[in-house]
Amino acid sequence: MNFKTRVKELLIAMELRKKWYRFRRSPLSIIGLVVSLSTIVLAVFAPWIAPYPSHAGFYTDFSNAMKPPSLQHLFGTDEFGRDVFSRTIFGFRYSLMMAAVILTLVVPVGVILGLIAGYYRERILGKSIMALADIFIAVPPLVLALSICSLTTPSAFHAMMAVSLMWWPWYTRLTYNITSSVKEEYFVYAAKVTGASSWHIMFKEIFPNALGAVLTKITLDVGWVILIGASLSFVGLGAQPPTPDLGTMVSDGAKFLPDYWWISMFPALAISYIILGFNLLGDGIKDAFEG
Amino acid sequence: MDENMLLQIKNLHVGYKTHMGISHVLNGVHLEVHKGERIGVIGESGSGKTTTMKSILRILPSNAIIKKGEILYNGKDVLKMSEKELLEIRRKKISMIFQDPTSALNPLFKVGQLMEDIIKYSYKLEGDEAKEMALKALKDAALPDPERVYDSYPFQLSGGMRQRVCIALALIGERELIIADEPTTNLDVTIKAQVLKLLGKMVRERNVGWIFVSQALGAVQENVDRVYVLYAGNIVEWGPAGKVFSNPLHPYTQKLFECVPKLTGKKFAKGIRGRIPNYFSPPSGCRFHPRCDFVMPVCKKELPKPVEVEHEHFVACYNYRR
Amino acid sequence: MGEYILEVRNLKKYFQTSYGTVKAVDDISFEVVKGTTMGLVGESGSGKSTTGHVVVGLFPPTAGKIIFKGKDISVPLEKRPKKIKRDIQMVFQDPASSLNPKKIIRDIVGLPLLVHRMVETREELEEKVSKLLELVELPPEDYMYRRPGDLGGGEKQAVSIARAIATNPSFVIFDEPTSALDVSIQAKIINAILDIQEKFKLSSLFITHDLSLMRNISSHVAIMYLGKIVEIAPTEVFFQKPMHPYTQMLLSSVPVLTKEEEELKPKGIESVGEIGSPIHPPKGCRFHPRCPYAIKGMCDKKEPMLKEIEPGHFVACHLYD
Repeated sequence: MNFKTRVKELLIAMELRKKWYRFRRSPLSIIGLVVSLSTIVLAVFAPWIAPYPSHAGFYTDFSNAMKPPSLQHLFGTDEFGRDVFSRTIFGFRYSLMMAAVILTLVVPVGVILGLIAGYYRERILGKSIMALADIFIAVPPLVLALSICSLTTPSAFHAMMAVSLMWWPWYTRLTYNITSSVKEEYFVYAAKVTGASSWHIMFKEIFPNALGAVLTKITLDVGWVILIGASLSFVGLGAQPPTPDLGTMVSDGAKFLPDYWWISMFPALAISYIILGFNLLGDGIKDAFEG
Repeated sequence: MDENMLLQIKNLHVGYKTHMGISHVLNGVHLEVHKGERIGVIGESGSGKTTTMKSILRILPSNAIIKKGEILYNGKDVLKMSEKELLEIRRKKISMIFQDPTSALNPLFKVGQLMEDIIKYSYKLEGDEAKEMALKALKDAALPDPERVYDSYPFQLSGGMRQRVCIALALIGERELIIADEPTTNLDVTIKAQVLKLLGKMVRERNVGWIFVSQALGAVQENVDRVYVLYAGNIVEWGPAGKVFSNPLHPYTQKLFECVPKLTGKKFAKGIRGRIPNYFSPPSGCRFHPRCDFVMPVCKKELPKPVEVEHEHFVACYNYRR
Repeated sequence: MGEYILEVRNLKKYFQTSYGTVKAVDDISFEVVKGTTMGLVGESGSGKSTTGHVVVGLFPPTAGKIIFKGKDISVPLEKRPKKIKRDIQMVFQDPASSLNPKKIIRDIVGLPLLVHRMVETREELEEKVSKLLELVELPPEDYMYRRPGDLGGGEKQAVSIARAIATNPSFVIFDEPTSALDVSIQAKIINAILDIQEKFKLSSLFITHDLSLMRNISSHVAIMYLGKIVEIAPTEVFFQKPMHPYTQMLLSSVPVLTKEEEELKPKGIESVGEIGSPIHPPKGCRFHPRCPYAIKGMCDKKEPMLKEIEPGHFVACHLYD
């Protein structure tokens, strides 16, 4: 038993090594990994890293308002005298948390519906799930989110709900496509012939084959969810002040362009930084699972 | 130098770079094709058949490394040719027929369009002249109703017809060498017979050199003059087809022939023990030695030199040392 | 004659497509005697694989009956009793698609054992899977925890066979198990199949396009062309006297290595034409457009029925009326 477990561990390790090789073949993937990890580290340890953690909340120091970037305030200060650098770091925290909440809601629902729809593609069940998904996809995502947010009171919570509502069908689509092709593979036939349950076939045979694509999409989506969230905040429908949301920061700072460029520029660059990082990482994960 | 020599591969070593290191596939392949000669290359998957054939036209994937060797085409080394010279050869002299006729034909263009493009680039002919040439080629490939085929998209044709179109394309104009890499593997038994018969006939009529690469030993035997047996990147035996098939010498060739199921229903061999070697660290000496029943200590040390056992029938095996 | 393990009666399987109804299998009947192997031979489009899929239950038949051990099992797979599913297994054609690339070999081979609750603990599972892998000559300690991606085509097919015999079935359908393999590997797999058939007294349906291979493995043979069976005979009788013109054409097209084989090939017939469309099959005898002996006004009008020409040898051809 002991020997066998060791062999098993070795083989699992080999599989990971193969994936890691495929991943690191492209230097861009490594950049993506470094960038995404850095945002995660900044987000998690924001209170310890940010030089002025208290500036993330209600804080005013008008004597220091609108200061350009300096050694004390790397990214300068805003109209309330808050340190833009500290707020940007807390902005990472808020953005990543929003992405995590939305994706935890959306991914399981979307994936399970996609598996069911793909597996019962010929039946009414599968067709109706896909029809529903298509309806949601047909509505331009930002418009849907905007209308939902404008119907309710603008808040971070409502913004997240709105983004979730428009996001699940993409996971359903993705899993549906994979499921409908994988279910014609002979190994699925073999499982059916031997009498395995539909539940087993969907989750144990088909799902592992969709995992790579789902993980890739999740990584790529982190960036997009953050972007949409920021857009909602930018138009005032997302997080409300004084939450250090990157989108809100860009929109508030935009008023002072171009003279006080640092107030909006640095949060905007931070948004690009996150999106770029997770997109490159997503490409790397795709490489690791393919081929 | 032999006037009649069309293609001569000498001591070709080709490897591939991968994440596990370099895979040393071809380990000194040699091959000769005379003008108008029909050559069979036998080898199982992974033996390096396709790598050899792709080397001839220099269409290897980007991670391939040609370590040493020469490929002389009409006396000139293909490996040292400029892009321009290569293009000339690919366009006019050597053509290749692939295993899968479906992916070999661009599905977006009609057969006629595909053929005229080739004629345009190779022979600078356009319009009616090109069409005439294309129709003649289709007719020569025994395609029923060439006009209709000319106006069809590849997906409107059956697998057998598609492969005939590929043959027609390959034999347009004055080719000197046709390389057919498993040209009938994907076709049905009765269609296979038709296509091979056609290819054999056309090659003979036009006196074109032909390299027929296949695992279908019966088909090779029925169609070629000389045969080379490729195992793990080495030519282990070669000679006139009649001699090799009636009197296989190399232990691998012998085993391989025994493995072919016979129509007479005589029991066939248990297969060859082991598997094709790992090219990252291939066996020393004769690459077949770990699977060979007649292995001797010397087999593990050095690659055996070819021995001419009977007239023009060579084998690279220490069991035939004088 | 022993008793029949499988009887197929007037089986039809039609598929609706956007081009029309594909008559993949169109009214065929045959039996498999217990403990023997029936070779089902045909080219692509003949309906041989569809026949296998229908018998194993992947698609319900359009018409006709499948009788297994005297019981009618012509119902969809979900409605078949678990006991039947355990008793009929299948090995598929394409080794690359036959095994789930994300699972380790232990779980692939062990699946039927788990589904049919034939093992309780993980140790028991591993022990049984080891035995099965040994049967197909794969050393268990080397293969148990590997994934299909690391395996060659022959090894994958061996795993498929191990999975198919895991539940100790009495009937296995082999759908061209070696058509994607090299000859030296094919020889290994076929020998493994022959050993297992003998050891487990297995009855089987062996689907192939390769007459040479069929001769080595089956005791009876049925030749299919465009959804119909054109000839059935015991293998030995068949090779002495292939009767249907299509069978003769098929046999004459087989490339061979030796003189003795060459002598078995019928003379004076040569492969011409291509298989017709299963959506609009030719009227009368489906082979008549390619047949050198076709009788005008007969073969293109009237469909020939399977008739017993000599004991056990059935042919569907007007030449033998």
